[in-house]
Amino acid sequence: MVSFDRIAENKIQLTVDITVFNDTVITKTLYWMQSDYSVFWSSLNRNIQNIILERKNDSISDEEFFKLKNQINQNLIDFKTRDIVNQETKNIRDILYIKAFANGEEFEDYNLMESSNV
Amino acid sequence: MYNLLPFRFERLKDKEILVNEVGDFLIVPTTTVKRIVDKEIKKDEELYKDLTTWYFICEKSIPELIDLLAARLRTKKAFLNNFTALHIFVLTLRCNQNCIYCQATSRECRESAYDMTQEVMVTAIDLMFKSPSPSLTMEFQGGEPSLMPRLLLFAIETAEQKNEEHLKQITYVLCTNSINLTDEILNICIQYRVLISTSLDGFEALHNHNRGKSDSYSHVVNGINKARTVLGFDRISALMTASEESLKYPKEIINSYLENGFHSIFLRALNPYGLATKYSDWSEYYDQFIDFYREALDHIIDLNKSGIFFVEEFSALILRKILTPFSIGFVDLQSPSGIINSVIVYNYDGYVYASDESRMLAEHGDYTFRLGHVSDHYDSLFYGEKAQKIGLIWANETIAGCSDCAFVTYCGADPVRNYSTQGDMYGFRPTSSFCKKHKQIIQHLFSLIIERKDEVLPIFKRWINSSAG
Repeated sequence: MVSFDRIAENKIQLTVDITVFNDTVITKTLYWMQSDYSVFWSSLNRNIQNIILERKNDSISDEEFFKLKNQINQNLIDFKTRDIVNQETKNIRDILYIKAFANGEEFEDYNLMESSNV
Repeated sequence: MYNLLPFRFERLKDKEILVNEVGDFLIVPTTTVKRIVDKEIKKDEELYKDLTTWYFICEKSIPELIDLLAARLRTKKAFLNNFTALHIFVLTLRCNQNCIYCQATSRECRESAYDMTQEVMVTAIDLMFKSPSPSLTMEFQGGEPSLMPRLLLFAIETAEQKNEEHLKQITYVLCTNSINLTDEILNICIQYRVLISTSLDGFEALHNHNRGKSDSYSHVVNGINKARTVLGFDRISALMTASEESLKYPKEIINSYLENGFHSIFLRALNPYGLATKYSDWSEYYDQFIDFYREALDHIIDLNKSGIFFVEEFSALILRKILTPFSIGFVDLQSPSGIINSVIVYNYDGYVYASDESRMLAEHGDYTFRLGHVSDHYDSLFYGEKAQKIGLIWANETIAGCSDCAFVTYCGADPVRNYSTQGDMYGFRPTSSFCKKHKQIIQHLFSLIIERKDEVLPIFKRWINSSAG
């Protein structure tokens, strides 16, 4: 995280270097913020992502501000770590699931609908 | 240099919990995951051996024992092997109680329009026998199914007759409030070894409050005792549903179960269906439920420590997933989801639903999970368009918020719950009560394992060994 500032009573602005924390890592971190915050995300330049978090129901206290700062930092690091594990183990996970569940010619394709409205 | 194998992690109590793809876990100090990922674990460290033994890392790019790991993954998902085993038959919507949290939208006793016909029953039984599962559970629900003794007998006799051709192992379960356990009903239970599953919410005042009747408790307890005398002590089990009022009395509820001769309890939260949808502030309710659950579990652990064997069944199910290589039959904790894969519901009116909760939605005019009618072809019901649509999002390994969760192996997927509480089957984990409740309970069990290992693990292992899962 490059910066983390309060810009209004209920708004926080943070900037993140996408060469350090990629799009997937930022998305997963922000996903869990959405129960309490509206998320506004734009690119400041090629590398820096600008994110504004607007608290939905209340202002942000000083205590919450520091807690949030630590939490987002920790979540970015943790999701980056998970991303490294996911990337490095993707093939072995695929092999594992194929070995566990594919039954060769017995496999039947039920032609899942492409235009699913789920 | 070693290679990583798939695993997930979670921080808890200044520790990191690592869980691999088959549910094995390691509890390690904070910063260990970073050291593992940065390939800093040295070969002479004890941790290196643990990580290798439990399939978190391996020296070759593909582990030599990958076939063994694949077999273990298959074992973890063994509930899928035989497809739908639990077949729920809603004999009637009529009921003789007035529960404040009724999830099934029961009707008055005289409204016979809400009874299943024999024609529907026969067609539904034919569908049940199309299931590839060698063992079937035929569960009779309501409303109150004991109000329909003749249909109950007809259903069992029909199933027995048809089973002479199919040769499946059939278990019969009657889900009853035990108010109306007449000799006629109990004779059916004796003849066909029908198990009784009843509900008891706790001590007298609480149970009567929840049932909206002043004398429900005495009738239920009399019914339970009568059934035990006639059928045998172990042929009747009970579960409780925690109303908002119940949450004030964790210890008292456990003690009332003990006083009534039970050695286990299933601490069950309200589900947002039926009358319960209008019930309360759900976020606050689930926060209070977690506190209730923790306090109740502590009391149960204390009882066990004092020599009284008593099991909390929901914990036992999760612990079985955490501490053993095996899968469980409980549909709420399955991924791919238990709906259709493990359970199907034939409603009183002949419509077929993906789960018990699905037909509860239908009673409120929402037919999203209605798969069709018993007169439809088996394939169109179980593999049709609706089943396929649900199937796209019924594995929590593939959905946002779950796929990275360390506890994904121990939890389950519930598209019906997602839909009913959040408006879409995919769901949104940050505000999901299902996610919140399960995650906090799993975290609490791990906290106990971390902080009170020597005290709780022997108790937990006894629970697992005593529970069928």
